[in-house]
Amino acid sequence: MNRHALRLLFALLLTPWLACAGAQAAGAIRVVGSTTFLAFVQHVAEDYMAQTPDATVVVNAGGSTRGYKAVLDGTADVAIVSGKLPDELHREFARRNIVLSQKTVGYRALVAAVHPSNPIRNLSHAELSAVFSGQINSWKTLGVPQGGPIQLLIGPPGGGLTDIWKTEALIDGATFSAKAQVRSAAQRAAMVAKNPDAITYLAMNEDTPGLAYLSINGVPPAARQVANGAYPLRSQLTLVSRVGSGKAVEAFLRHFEKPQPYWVLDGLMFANPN
Amino acid sequence: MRLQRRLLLASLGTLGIAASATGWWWRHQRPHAASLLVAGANAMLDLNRALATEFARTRPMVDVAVEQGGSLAGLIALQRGAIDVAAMSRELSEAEDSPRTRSYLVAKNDIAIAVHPQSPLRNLSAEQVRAIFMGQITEWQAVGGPAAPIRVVSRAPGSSSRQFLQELVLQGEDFTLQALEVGSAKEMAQEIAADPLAIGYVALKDRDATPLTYLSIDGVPATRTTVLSARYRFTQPLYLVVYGDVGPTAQSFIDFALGAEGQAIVASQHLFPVA
Repeated sequence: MNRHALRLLFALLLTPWLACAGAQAAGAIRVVGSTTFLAFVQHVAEDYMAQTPDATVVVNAGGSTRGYKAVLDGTADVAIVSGKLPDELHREFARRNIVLSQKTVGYRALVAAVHPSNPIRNLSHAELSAVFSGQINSWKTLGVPQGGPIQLLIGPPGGGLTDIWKTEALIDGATFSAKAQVRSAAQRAAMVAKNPDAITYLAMNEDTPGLAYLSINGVPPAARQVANGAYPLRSQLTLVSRVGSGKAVEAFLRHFEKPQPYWVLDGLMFANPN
Repeated sequence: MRLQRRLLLASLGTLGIAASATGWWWRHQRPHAASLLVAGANAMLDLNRALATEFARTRPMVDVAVEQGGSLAGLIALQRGAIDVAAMSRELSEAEDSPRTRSYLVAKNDIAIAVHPQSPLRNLSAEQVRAIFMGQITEWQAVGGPAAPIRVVSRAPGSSSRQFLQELVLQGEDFTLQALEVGSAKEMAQEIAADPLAIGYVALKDRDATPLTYLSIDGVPATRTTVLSARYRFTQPLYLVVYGDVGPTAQSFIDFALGAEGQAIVASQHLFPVA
């Protein structure tokens, strides 16, 4: 979580004026939050509107923290959240007698990506942590005879994906290597596709020409393994709303309950927790 | 960047002077009347004026003034207490947002990329659109069309549609110097309808019966549901923003905009209602 997000989070706890009721939309369902799961929620929203006469679902990105804030101040009905509700915010909602409904509706695998010519296809969780923290800085150390120095690519600090990767992939309090280059996700994917010595992390896409995804502890980032937690690196999609938000919101949330084991939407893969 | 800063300061100065002068005049002319100053995005000027007119009509003791000046200028004026409600035609950035800021989405707009009905094109990527309007792609053949030059049609500077496309699609860069500039949405539609090699853009509120083909962007057509879900990329959220302790008049205006009457006005402005 970056400086602005932290400022937002902690300042929220100090501003009781926010508890005043905001204007409520008459019939629309307002959804705000995580960009990691935006495509998934957008498709479900469109499907819901197509099947529900007169329904209006308005979706906007902005990140998990803004989603929480919007539910708290009454400018949104549903927050799209990747990750758990921070304890501080949980207490703040409780202090204001706002009871939350939290519904986990999907997972997205977070994957370590390398160039297809790189022979490495699996790392232990400990090796992965050592690579991203800089303790292992050569592919030779990982058993690649002709391997050179590892070119480490990470995302901007404060990005949702970067925060989750730091929490989930790095162990024992490790931090990112100071030698890592900071790039956007699209830039990282393009750079790894051109550089056999590069490694980065991305949210799972189904079709990724020019990239190879690594198994962790021998478990591939496949839908079943992501959903049941055998693959350890995943982002969890939780929809957060106030209890008592109304039947329209409840009906919309039920629309996420689908029987298929996973969805592929615009090339992005999401696993079903059910 | 320097030009942008100068424009911002000019907008802020103009907005501040207008808001201060209007507020001073009010408070001396009608000391018992409640006042409401709404200012910000140029793209929301017509909508805000229509909302304010109807809001004031049913509340004779409320004086409402609407100004433009730009989204950022409006937000700064709001945070400094110069106005009561800021109009913003984009999301607040993380740095701009704060716990004391509340953003109410009141409408959505979109902009469609239009070509002649005889054009074989039905889809472009957002990158292709950007390259065409910046003049980096000048031949239809490069994007799957005929071997012929592209004729870019643009609105004249000052148009909110032009500003929308420049901010959202061109990411602040300039239009190609070869673009034909027209003075109205009607002229834009007529130019495209008359030339199979033309391409232009039409905001939702400006679409009429002129037979044009509106392109999908990255495979997503501009429909009500794709605009509301924001999957259609060239959409513009329109917010009314309040800050800090919100007065009853400002809150009443927000409630009005999000209520049935306000949303009917949104629809009458040919924007997508969102409540």
